[in-house]
Amino acid sequence: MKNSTLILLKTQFLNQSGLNDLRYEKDKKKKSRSILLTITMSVVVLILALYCFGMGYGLGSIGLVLVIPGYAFTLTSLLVMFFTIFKSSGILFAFKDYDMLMALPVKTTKVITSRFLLMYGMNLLIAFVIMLPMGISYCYWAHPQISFYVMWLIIIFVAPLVPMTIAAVLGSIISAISSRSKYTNVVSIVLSFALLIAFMGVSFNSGTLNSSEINVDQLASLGTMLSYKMTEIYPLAGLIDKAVCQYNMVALLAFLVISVVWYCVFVKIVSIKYKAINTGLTTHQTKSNYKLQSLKVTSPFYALFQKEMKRFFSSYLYVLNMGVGAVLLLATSIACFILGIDKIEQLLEISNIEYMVSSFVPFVISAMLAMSCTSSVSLSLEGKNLWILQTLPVDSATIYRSKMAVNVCILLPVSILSSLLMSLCLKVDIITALWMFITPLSYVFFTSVWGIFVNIKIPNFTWESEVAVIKQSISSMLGIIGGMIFGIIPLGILSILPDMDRNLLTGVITLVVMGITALLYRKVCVIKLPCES
Amino acid sequence: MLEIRNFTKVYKGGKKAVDHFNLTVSAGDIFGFIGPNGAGKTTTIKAVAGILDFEEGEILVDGHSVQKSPVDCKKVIAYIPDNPDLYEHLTGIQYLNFIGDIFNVGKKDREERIAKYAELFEITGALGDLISSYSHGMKQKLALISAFMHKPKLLLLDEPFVGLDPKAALTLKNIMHELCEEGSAIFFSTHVLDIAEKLCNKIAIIKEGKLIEVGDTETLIKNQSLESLFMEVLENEK
Repeated sequence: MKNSTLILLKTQFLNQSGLNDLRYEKDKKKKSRSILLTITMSVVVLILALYCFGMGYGLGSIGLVLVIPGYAFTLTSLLVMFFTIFKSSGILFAFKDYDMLMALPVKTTKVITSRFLLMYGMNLLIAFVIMLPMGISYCYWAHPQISFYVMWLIIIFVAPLVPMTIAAVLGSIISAISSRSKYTNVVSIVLSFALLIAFMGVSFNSGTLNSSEINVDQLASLGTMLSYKMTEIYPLAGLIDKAVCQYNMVALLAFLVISVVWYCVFVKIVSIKYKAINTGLTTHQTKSNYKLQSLKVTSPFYALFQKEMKRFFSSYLYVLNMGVGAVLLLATSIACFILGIDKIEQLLEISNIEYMVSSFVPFVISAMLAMSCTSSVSLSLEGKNLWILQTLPVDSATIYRSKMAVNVCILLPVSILSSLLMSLCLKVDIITALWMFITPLSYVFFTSVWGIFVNIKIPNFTWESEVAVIKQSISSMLGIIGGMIFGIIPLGILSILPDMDRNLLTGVITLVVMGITALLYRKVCVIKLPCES
Repeated sequence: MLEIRNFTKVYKGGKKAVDHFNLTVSAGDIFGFIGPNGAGKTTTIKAVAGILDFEEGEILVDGHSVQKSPVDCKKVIAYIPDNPDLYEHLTGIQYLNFIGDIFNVGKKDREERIAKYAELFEITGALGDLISSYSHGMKQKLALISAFMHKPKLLLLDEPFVGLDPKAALTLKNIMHELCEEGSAIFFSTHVLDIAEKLCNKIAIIKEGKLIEVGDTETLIKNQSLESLFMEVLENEK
């Protein structure tokens, strides 16, 4: 009999990767959509790889060649960890086909391994995109021995293992704690956001080089400092440095043993509590003692809006991924307000910062708000429930409005509060303060309309896991990235036109955004709800 | 109440699921729609419900075209698919109230109907629980209650008896009779021929997208059973 882990892995891969859509889809529109997604992803991967090569090349050109391997490794590990924490719920735990898989005559460890390998496959892509081009740039500058190539390839394959497991342990702890609570989702969401903010805080603290520690003229000491900082963030980076730069086989062996043993221990421990965690996450407390009470009657729009709000807050993945921009923005604004402009100037060692950043801040706020584009996935998330909307006696525009309204309601308070905090922090004049409020507000509406527009054009109703819609769909990517680009472009315009009146420029850009929003809104309102065809 | 004229549905890839289908369902009818798997039953019902686009033919509900005035049609229709996937993050009562709001059912009617049907299907106690905690049968019962909420003129049911316990099945049959006596029409698909024979006043048999038999149940089956008629018709059509 074939290895059951591989059979499970192959089936899950075929089910989730969309490969079968490319091979067997008869609907030409759907097939061309799959091809478009594949091409887009390939281009993104290529650009990222080129960027990483450029980064390695840049380090080499300023004499920091020996930093490249450790840097590539640390960067990969951090990104893998960051992405895995939020994937573990949905892929490793509480996935839709859990009942079906656990009923098969397969050991729990093999189910976990197959799910873990699926995540490993995705993370291996990150490792290759970062480490391969940076490895090439290292070879260009260092002309290493032939053994480097073998070691580097082995390291690329093993690199995601430890960060993935650490992230999955954290994800497991969050899942385990929340599974004991009555309010599973709320606990998961709060713990995850706390972890995210802590994670960013630690990265920022460890990653910030205090200028007093560095003599910039002495690049050799900068290299040492960078290596030291990387080892501080991630101790295994030290082993990689030794293994690759000094051809130390013991270090390589130690790295491999630590990675593999760590992984095996993780699988063993999780497999013991696997059923308990999943049962806790997927079952609900029922009281079955409901007594009919007076019901509140509302309008169809408000009923749809309420349903949409409940949908958002009932999904851990939805809140976590789409709420991250708003939460980070709020955290940053509060931090800026508490620290005050003087302290920020002191930290950045730049004086008279208000004038420099005050015109940028509205767009930075806007770009961060655009990260919380709930409407870009809200239609796709209807999934198997789409038949309900399709058979309701309401026009499509009302349904779209309810989805946009949720996005607006989530972002509106964050936008106003952040604008208030930032204007108080930067002590700007009244006109600048006005734009500080109006510009982000215009982006709140733009983000909501843009998201639903993208989702109507590129929906995905045939998903098995919410991960496929929220994290991996084109509409999700276009919704977030598209909105962010709209926020970032004005920053570029402001930078290349430094002599123009900042308030005038901001006003013009804001009006353009409002105009685009109005046009998109009118277009959205006349599009029919997608039907089966 | 329902008029299907020359309805043809060709799926992408060229497969003809339904071919020049004609049918009329009048107020007061309990119309059984039977046929083998893949015959085109669900395709037809979905097209009437406004879920499925089609290029050829016309479907009229209460005089309104499904394609030209979909909202007018949907106001008088209630549709339940063969596997009712409901909003799992809502509680039963929240879902019913949501449907009540959308169909503009008044507060008094809403409360009375929910109380009546929830009692009949014995799920009143569970209405405060999340739908995700419901069994398949309970979801089916909830979907049925939501369908009865606005007193639909046309009830479209795809395999409505699947998953229901015997008592709930009997309750459903009684409610179907009651609705038809009040002037509604019911068009439903089923593979349970015994139920169709006893419950329906009219029967339509579809095979490979074509209507092969339609008429009053009594006239069609004469002295034999619906099962014998069904097998005979299918054999003759080979």
